[in-house]
Amino acid sequence: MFTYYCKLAWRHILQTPALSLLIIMAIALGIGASMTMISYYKAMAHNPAGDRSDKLHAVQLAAYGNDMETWGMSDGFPRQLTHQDVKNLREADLSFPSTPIYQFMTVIVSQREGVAPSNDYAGRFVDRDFFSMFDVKFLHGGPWSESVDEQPENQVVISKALSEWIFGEVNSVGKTFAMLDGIMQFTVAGVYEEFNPQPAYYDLTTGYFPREGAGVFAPYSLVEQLETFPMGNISGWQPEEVNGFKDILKSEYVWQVFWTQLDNEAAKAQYKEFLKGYVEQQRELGRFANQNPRGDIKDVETWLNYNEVISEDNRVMVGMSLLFLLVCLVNAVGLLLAKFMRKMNEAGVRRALGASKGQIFSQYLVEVGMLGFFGGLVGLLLASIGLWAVRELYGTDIARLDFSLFIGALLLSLLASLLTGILPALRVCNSNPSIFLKAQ
Amino acid sequence: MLRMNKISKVFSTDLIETHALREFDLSVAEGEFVTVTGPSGSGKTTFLNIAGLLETFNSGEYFLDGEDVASLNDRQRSQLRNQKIGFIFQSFNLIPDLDLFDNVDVPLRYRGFSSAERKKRINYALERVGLAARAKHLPSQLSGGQQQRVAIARALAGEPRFLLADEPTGNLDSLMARQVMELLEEINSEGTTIVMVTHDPSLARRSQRNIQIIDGQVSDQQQLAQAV
Repeated sequence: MFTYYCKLAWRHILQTPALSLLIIMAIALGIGASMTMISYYKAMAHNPAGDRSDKLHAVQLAAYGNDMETWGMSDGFPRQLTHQDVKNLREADLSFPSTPIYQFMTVIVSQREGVAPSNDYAGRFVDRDFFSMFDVKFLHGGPWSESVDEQPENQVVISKALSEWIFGEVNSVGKTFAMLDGIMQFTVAGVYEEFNPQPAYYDLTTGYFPREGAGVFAPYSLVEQLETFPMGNISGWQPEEVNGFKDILKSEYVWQVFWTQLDNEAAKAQYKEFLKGYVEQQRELGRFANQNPRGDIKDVETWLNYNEVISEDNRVMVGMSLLFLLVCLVNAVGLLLAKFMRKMNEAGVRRALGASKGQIFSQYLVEVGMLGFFGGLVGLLLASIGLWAVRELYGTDIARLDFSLFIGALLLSLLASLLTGILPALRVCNSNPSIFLKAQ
Repeated sequence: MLRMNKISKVFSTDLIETHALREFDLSVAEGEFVTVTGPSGSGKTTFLNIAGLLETFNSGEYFLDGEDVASLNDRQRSQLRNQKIGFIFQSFNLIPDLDLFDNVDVPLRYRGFSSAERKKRINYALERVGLAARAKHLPSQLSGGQQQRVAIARALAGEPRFLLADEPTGNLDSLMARQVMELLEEINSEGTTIVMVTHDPSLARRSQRNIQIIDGQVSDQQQLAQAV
């Protein structure tokens, strides 16, 4: 009977094209709006760290003084660290993989003919552990050697795209190119496919959803030697006289992040204990003079929530879009009632000829389902347009319709339309057929 | 074939109760052709709807082919209606956007016949009423008499034992009415029980028995001819 119902449904849709189109558009608008917001929300809510999420930890220190009550985020921690603290954390006698991160912009000189130098490449200073901690996939070569973290060398790890731009080939391991001031030469230690997790959880200080990931990673050990100003957020809790890069290094400005990998509870406890001791030590040196000096670690999930990668506004927008879907469905109920009332006579004839109420109900529900399916398809088209607008508006590359969202949208549309169709279908199947048989 | 004992049907609104049938008694034997007459509002159509299991009743007993219908649920009543009863209406009640083939197909779909069986029955039924050549035409392309013949073909396709006709010639001119009546008589002569509501005394006289309903009760019964 299902194919028979489908055939009848298709015929009824063609008979009332304007009304059917209105119903399809009512469902499509609701699905389009809600799927746009759900897709965007889902992309933002994604935790790209996967099973490393509870192992990687961002380190925070309440490193401010002057007996301030609080500073930084709501819990009294600034999101970033001073260079002094990062340096001390790097040099601590601990066996956990760890890395500091800060972003810089650099001029890079291409070795291909006719290609002008570019000054808009983003790079980051990191330690060697960064690549294993954040699962950077290498195509050629690998990270610089362990000794480079102690004894700085002009080595870098670059992206495949950058390698092709500089050298015209993917495998550039061992080759050198000019960076930073356009003269200084750096040797390629490794080339990675692409590294741009969304959100960019490893360094949220320069945007949550960057269109392009870092093109080049350089050893953090070069920081003091290269004196490269950071590109990103710099905050301070006190006025300081800063006349050059060396002053920033010595200042109480916070501008770097520090991650450490703690694989189990014992490791976490040990690191917390270490931080406690470190705070005490710094306090004795006259720093951390606030009322509640302390350190903290936050795993990736906590870090994403803490930084409000998904803002309350986004949740409200999802709620609003679902309410809009509800409004659209209420309208669809009215339109369906109008459509089905025109079919009361036919339903009466079918009842007289042996159709049960259940069969009439099923027939009309199949029609509603078909309208919902078409509404879902048009809704997906609208959602694609909506997501394109979101990407253009926010300058990010997230929020695309994937297969699960495609199926989800169709299922949501079917479910919503079937729920919508229950009342009109019940009205038709519960009507007294004898009234319509006589009245026709 | 049909036995109604003290059937009562009351239509209630907030303000008024209308007794459509009052302790209505009637028996129709298998193979009989019975006409039902009576003034407007006397309860003819209510009787026909109850007989056709389209409406329930408030009290009394109704046995259709020996089966007590009062205890049946909607699905069982629909099944019984589909298998044993054929309907013919004054305004034909063909589905306008289905061609003749698909119109006749409607009751067979609910019967669960195979595609081949349905096709055989539809072609036979349309041949029987002389419209096989127009199977792909829409009802609007036919005259009133032809439409009623299609409705008869639809009623016959499932080979029901009981045919209910509600003023089947009411919308037809006299020539077409005569043709439809002759077709019904032919069907009855093959053993199908027919109960027909009519206003036309000349048609009523052609049946085997005429029942007059007044104020929801059988007021008069006339035996007109011997049942087949």
